[in-house]
Amino acid sequence: MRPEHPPRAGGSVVFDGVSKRFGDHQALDDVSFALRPGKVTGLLGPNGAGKSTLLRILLGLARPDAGSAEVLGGEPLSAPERAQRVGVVMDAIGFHPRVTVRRQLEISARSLGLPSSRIAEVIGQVGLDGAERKRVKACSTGMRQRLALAVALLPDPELLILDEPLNGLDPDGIRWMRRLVERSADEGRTVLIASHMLSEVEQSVDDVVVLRRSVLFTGSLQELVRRGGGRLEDAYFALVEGADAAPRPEVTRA
Amino acid sequence: MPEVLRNQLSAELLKLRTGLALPALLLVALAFCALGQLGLVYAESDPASAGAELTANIVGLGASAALFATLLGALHVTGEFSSGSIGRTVLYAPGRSAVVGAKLLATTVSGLVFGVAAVVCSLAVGYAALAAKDSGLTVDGSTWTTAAAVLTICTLAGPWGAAIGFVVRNRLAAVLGLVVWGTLGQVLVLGQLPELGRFLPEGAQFALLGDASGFPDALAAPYGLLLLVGWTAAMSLAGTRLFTHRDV
Repeated sequence: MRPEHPPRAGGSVVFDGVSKRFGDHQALDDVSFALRPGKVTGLLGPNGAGKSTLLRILLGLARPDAGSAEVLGGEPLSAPERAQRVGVVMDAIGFHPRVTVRRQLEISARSLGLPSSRIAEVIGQVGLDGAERKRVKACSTGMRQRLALAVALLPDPELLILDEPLNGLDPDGIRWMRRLVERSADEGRTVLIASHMLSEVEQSVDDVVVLRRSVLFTGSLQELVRRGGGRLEDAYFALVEGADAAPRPEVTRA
Repeated sequence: MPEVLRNQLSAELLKLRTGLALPALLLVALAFCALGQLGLVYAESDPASAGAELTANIVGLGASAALFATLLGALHVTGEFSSGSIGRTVLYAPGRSAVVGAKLLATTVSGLVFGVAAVVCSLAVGYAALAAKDSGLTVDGSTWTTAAAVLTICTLAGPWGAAIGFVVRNRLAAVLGLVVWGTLGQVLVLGQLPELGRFLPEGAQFALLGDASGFPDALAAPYGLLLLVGWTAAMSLAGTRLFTHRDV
């Protein structure tokens, strides 16, 4: 069991009535929820549900048309000290293909004003020893995920945002990622994982947010599983397919 | 300069030093300048009597490197948009304006490198080409005035390209646009519409170089400098405004 009051206990995130439209497509509609600090939250939803858009708003890469997002007590990453407290793994945030693993970490460390000694630490932490001189374009998808995670861990963040972190990972990598998420939570980090893989989410998260343009469910994993008669998959599909049928989705707040 | 901005600038300079863009474009720029300078010397029937004017013209051809400094600036920005790494840059910066500021400053430094290399290479190529024709460089005040103009033009070309990158975002469009404009477009406009061309960045470059033979309608050098700075500042403002208001 994780401690109720972890030592770090940081990383607050609050969405309040966030809406975003791209032309005729309503990507997000009145999305409101908050992450519990020091807990792992799974952000679930089908393709096109708005998960990536929501994460982009959270990171200050996109602006909501309505509503607001608050990260670590302020507007998304509007201050450098907040950027130092957030780590991100996201497909849409890529790497220059010609840069080496080591150079990418050097660039990120310089941006954050971190000493280069930190680079060796995160390389060891994510298991990229021996790959420092490899160019990004020569790295496998799994190695790129590890590099993205190494960059994310550089500032020793309070808030870790992982968008489909298991993409391209082999079973060993998936197990390693799961342990890393558990360790992060044990150390008091707030972790937000957006994923399609229900079985993996079920093993890693404390809380769940189900999103399909708007929030269909937000609460603890146990509560959602209970709704599905003991099966997360049943509960998830009941919510998502129910949202297809109903004009207005049911919103349950934790 | 605040520490967070120093960190950004340091990271941007490291990015510029990473990869092949800087050395490749610098080499092509110097080769391009050298070709023009060799042509100039070998077209001169009596280089000994041409004296300081020929030397100044040789050095002035170093300004051709500005096109490549512009390309590097544009690639430095558009490359991040195409790889998606711009998201990480935004994430670690104290604000989007700081991202633009750091990139403009870094490309100013790279532009300066192009300028220094162009001037040094011009003098070296000129020296060798004139020596082959039993002549030599005639260095006087006009040589250094022209060298200062080349340095200024190349230094401003870096942020000019970076600002265009923030406006255009698409790498292919930016590079094609700059190359087509830099080779054909400006020749057409300066040749056919000199009243308009003298106010464009290319006309301003001729003004700064004091090259009346290349573009007789050029303004006086101080106005050329003001225009170049004005164009760079205006494009930088446009780039900043677009970058801070659009989603990344």
